[in-house]
Amino acid sequence: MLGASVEDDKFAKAVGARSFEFPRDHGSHPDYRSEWWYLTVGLQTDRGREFGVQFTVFRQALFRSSQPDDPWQNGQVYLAHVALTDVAGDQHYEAERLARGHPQLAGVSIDPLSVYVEGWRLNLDHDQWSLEAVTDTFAVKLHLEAQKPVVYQGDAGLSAKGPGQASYYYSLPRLAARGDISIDGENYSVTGLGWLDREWSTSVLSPNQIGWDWFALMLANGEDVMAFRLRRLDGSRDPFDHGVVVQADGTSRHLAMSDFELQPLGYWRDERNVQWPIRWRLTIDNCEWIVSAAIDDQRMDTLLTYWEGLVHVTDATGQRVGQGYMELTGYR
Amino acid sequence: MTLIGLSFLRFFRRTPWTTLTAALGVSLGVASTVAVHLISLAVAGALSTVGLPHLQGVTHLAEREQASMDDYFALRRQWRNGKLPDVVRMTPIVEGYVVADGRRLHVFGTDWYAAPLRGMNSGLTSSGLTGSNVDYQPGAVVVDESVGLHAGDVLTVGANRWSVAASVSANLDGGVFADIGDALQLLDAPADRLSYVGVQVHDPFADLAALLEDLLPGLSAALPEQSSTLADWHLRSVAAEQPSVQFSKSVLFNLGALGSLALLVAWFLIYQICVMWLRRQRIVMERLVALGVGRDVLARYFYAAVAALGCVATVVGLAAGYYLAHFLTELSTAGFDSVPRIEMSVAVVLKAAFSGIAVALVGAWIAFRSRTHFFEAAVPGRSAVHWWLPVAVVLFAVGILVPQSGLAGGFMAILAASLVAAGLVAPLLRGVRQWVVRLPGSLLAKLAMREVTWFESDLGVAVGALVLAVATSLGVGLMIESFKADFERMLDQRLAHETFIDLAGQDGLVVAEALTRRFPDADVQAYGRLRARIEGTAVELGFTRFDAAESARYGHEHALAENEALVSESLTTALDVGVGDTLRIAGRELTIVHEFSGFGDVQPRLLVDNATAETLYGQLPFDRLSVAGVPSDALLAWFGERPGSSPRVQQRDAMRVIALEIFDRTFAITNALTLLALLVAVIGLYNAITALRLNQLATSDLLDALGVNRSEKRRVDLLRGLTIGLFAVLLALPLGLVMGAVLCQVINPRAFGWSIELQLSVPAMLWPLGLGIAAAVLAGLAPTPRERLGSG
Repeated sequence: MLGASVEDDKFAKAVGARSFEFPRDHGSHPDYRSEWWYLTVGLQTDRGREFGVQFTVFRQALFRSSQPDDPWQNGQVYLAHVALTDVAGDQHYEAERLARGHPQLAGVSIDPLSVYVEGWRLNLDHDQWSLEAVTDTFAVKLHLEAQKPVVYQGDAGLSAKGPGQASYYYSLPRLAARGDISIDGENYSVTGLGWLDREWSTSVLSPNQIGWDWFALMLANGEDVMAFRLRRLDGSRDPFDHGVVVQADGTSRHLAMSDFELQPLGYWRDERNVQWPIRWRLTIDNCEWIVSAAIDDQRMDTLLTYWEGLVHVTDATGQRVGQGYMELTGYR
Repeated sequence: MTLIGLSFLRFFRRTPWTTLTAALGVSLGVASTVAVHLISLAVAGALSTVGLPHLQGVTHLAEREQASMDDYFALRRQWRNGKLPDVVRMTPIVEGYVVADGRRLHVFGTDWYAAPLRGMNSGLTSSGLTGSNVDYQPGAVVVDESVGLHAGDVLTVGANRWSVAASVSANLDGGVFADIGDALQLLDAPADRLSYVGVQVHDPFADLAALLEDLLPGLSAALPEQSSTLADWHLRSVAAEQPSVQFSKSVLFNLGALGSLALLVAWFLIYQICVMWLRRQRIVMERLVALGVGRDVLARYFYAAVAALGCVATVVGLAAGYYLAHFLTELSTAGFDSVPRIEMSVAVVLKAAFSGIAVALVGAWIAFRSRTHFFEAAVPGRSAVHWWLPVAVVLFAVGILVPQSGLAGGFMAILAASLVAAGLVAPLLRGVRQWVVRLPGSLLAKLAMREVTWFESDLGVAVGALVLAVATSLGVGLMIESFKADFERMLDQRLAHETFIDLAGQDGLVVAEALTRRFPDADVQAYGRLRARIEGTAVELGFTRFDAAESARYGHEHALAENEALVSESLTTALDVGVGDTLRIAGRELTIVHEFSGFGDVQPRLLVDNATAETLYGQLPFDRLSVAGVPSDALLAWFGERPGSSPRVQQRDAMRVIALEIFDRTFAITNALTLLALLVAVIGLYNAITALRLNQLATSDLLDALGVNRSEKRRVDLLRGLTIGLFAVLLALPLGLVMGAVLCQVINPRAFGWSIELQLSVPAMLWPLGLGIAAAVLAGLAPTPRERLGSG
C-alpha cells in the first residue's frame, strides 16, 4: 500500500512549515495520499496484570477523486489494526479490517472527531479521546485524556524522512487511560498510559531505506521519549534518524541522529526464520536504557507484517523505569 | 505360519484359469473406474477455466425483496458485530444491462477496493487488474472476451469512457465487470442500488468435500442443494450462477456411477470365486484348524492372498483404464476441435488401488465369513430374514419420492433396486425348483434345469451380477432411445426454418434489414437473448417475433400475446411454477402459457415476443437469424461480400444430422461402459458354471454310464446356459424397466432439469435381453478348464 505511484503527483506533499489547528488536524487530510492514527497504550489491572493495546488506522488514497460527493467514488481505502498483548498470559491477539472509504463503512468525521472502520472507532469529544474495538476474541473500550500538550516532531511538525521526503507528524504523549478490556469473555478493568501519533504525507521511503524501528517510551520520572531509526540497505545510520524528549512539564527537545544511539541486543526468530530485534540499548546523551519486549511474539500477522508491541524500560541497574511501545518494520 | 499364506498362493497357481478370470474381472472393473475418472479429470480441468470472475471466492448469494444498499450495510454490521459467525466475508453486488454501440452489455459491480486483497474477486486479481490497490484506476473495467475488446481499449457508454483493464473468458455474453462505484455509473443507477450480496460462508467440511470431489468427480452436483437463510436474507448457492459447470458436473457424476457398475459386478465375481476357492480348500483348512491354527489366522492369510491378487489386477486395470479413457474420448469427440487431455494423476492411482484391492478384500471377507461355518461344531441357525431387504425398499422410496435427496438420491434408488433384485436371485431359484421338475421334456432337459435351481449357491451371485449388467444395459438403453425420440421430436419442431445464422457479434436487426433488401422474397426472423433474473434465479430470456408458426416450434398453438411467456421445463422445476402461473421479471408480471422441453439447455429459459421483451428491457440485442426462401450458397456469397466477421450459416438438414451425431456420441461412452460390465458378468457366470460342472462330476460319470453321448452332453450345457440366461433376463426385465423409468423421470430432471417420456422401445429391450441370454449360453458352452479339483 505504501508504494510510489504515478497518482502521487496529484496529491499535496509535506513541504515547509504548517500551521496546525485542532481539532481540524486530528481529522483527515485527503489532499495527502497517506495518513495514519496510531494509538498505543500500556495498561494494568488493580492487581498488576499487564496488557498492551495498539490501534491503528491507515488511510490510503487510491486515486484523486473527481467526485468526492459520490459515496462510492471518494478514492479512499482504510486499513485498521487492533492488537492486545496479555503479558501474564504470554499472548498477543490481533485483528484487522480493510474497507473502502464510504460513510457507512470507513472514514473520518469531524465535530466530533471520529475515525472509524466498520465499527472500530477512535473518537475525540471535548478533549476526551475514546477507543472502541470489538473482535471475535477480544474487545477494548478505553477513555484517554491528554496529560501533556501536543508535541510536534521534526522541524515544528515537518518530519523529514529523506531528501525531498517528509511528512507532517505530531504526537500526544502520555494520555491517561482507563477502561475495560475483555479476552474470550473475561473482563478486566484497566488503567495506564497511552501515546497517539498522527502523521500524513504523500512521500514514501527512499529506495535505499528498507524499514524503520520506532520507540515511544513513557518513563516513571515523567519524561517521554520518541526515537525513530530508519534502516538502510547498507546497514549504515540514516542522517534522517530523529527523536524527541518530552520533559515532565511538557517542554520538548528534538533529537538529531547524533543525539541518540540504538543498539540491538537480542532477537526473536519467528517460524518464517525472520529475526526481530526485540531487546535494545537506547542511549541519549549519557543516559542509557534497556528496552525489552514484554513478550517476544508481538508480530502483527496482517496484510502488512510488522512487529508492534509493549516494551519494558529498565535502567543500567536493571530496575524498571518505564514502559512504552516499539514498532519494527521491513524485516524479512 | 507363512506356509499357510504360500499355500493359498500356490493354490491360486494350481487353478490358473479361475485365478486369471478373477484377476481379469477385477482388472476390467478397475479399468472402467479409472477410464471414467481420467475422462472426468480432463473435463473438470476444462471446467475450472470457466467461471464468473466477480464471484471467485463467493460461496453464496444473499437476497431479499427490494434490497437496498442500506440493507447490505445493516447485514454487514451484524457480521462485523459477531452476529454472523459463519460468514467469512461479503461484498455488495449490482447487476444490470446497458447498451453500448447497439450491443447490450451485462454489467456486474462488486466492491473491488477491499475484497481483492482478502481473496474475493481473485478472478479479477489474476486478470492483472487489481494486483495492488494502488494500481487501481477509476473507470477501469474487465470485459468478457465476447465483448471483443482487449486490455488498453476503450469502452464508450453514452458520454463516458471506460478503460479496459483486461479481457477474460467468463463465458458470459457481453459481460462487463467493474468496481461497484463504476458499475453504478455504468448503469446510471443511484448509489443505494443493490442487486444482491455475495457472501463467503465458512464450510467446515470444505476440505473433505474437495477431497471427495477429487475421488468422485461431479459429486457436488449430485448432492442436494441446501436452502438456508442469513439473518432475514435468503441464501442460495453460487453454483446456480454457473449452470454450465453444474450441468457438466452432473454428466460426470452420471458417468462415474455407470463406470462403477463394472466394479460392482467385479465384486460379485470375486465373491463367487472366493466361495469356490474356500470350498476347494475346505479339507486343508479343517486339518489346519484341527492342528490348532486359529480361524482368524487362516482368514488373515486368505485375505492377504486375495489382496495380492487385487494388487495385480489393479496394476493391469490402471494401464487398461488409461488406454480405455483414450479410446472412449476419441469415440465421443471424434471430429471436435477441443478434445479433453487425458493425464494420469496420483488421485487416479490411489483410486484404482483402493478400488481393486477393496473389491477383492470385501469379496474375500464376505465369502470367508459366510462360507466357513464348517469350522464350527454346529452351524448356528441362520436367520432367513434378510434385514437389508426392507432397508433397500425404504432407500428406494426415499430416493424416488424425496426430491431433496438430489441426483445422489436417484442413484441410491437404482442401487437399492439392484441389490433387491440381486438378492432375490437365490431365493427365487430355490422357489422354482418344484416347478422345474414338473415341466414336460426330456430327462436331460430336466437335468440341466434342475442343476440351475438346485445349486443356487454356486450360481446365485453370478446370475445376480448378470441380472444387474443386463438390467443396466436395458435401463440405460431405454432411456437413450426414449431421449432420442423426444430429442428428434424437439428437433423436428425447432428446425422449422431452412437456414439458421449465428451472426458472430453483428447486429441482427441491421443484418436482417440488409438481407431483406437484397432478397425481397426472403422470410427473415431475428432472434435475441439475454440473461435475466426471476426471484434471484438466473435465466435466459429469449425473444423473437412469436407468431403462431414460431410458437409451434415449441409445441404451442397460438401466437404469444404481450406478457405471455413460454418456459422450459427446467425453469418450471427451478422456480416451482407451472402453466397458468405468473412470473415477475424486471418489475412486470408474465403469464406462463406453455412449457417446452429444453434438451441441451444448461440454463432455465423463458421465451417472449419482441414486444414483451422491449417493455422489459428496452433496446434488444439480436444475434441470430432464421431465413427461408434464399438458397444457402446465395446467402453465403452475400455474407462473403459484407465487411465484418463471418457468420455461421447452417442448413436445417445439416443441423439435424449434426445434432443427432452429437447425441449418439454423447452416449457412446455409456454404451461402452455397460458392455464392459456385461463382459465382467459373463466372466463371473462362466466361473460359476465351471464350478457347478466340477462339483457335478459324479453326475457326469453317471450320464456316461447311462450312455449319454458327447452331443447330448453339449445339449445339457446349452440348456443349462439357456435356463440361466432366461432366468436372468426375466429378473433383469423388471429391474431394467425400473432403472429406465428412474433415469427418465428422476435422474434426468434432477441432473439437467428435463424429464423424458419413457418409451418401451422393443429393439432397445431385445438387444440387452438377447445379449444376456447369448452370454449365458456362451458361458454354458465354453469348455471347462483342466484345473485340479483337489484341495491342493
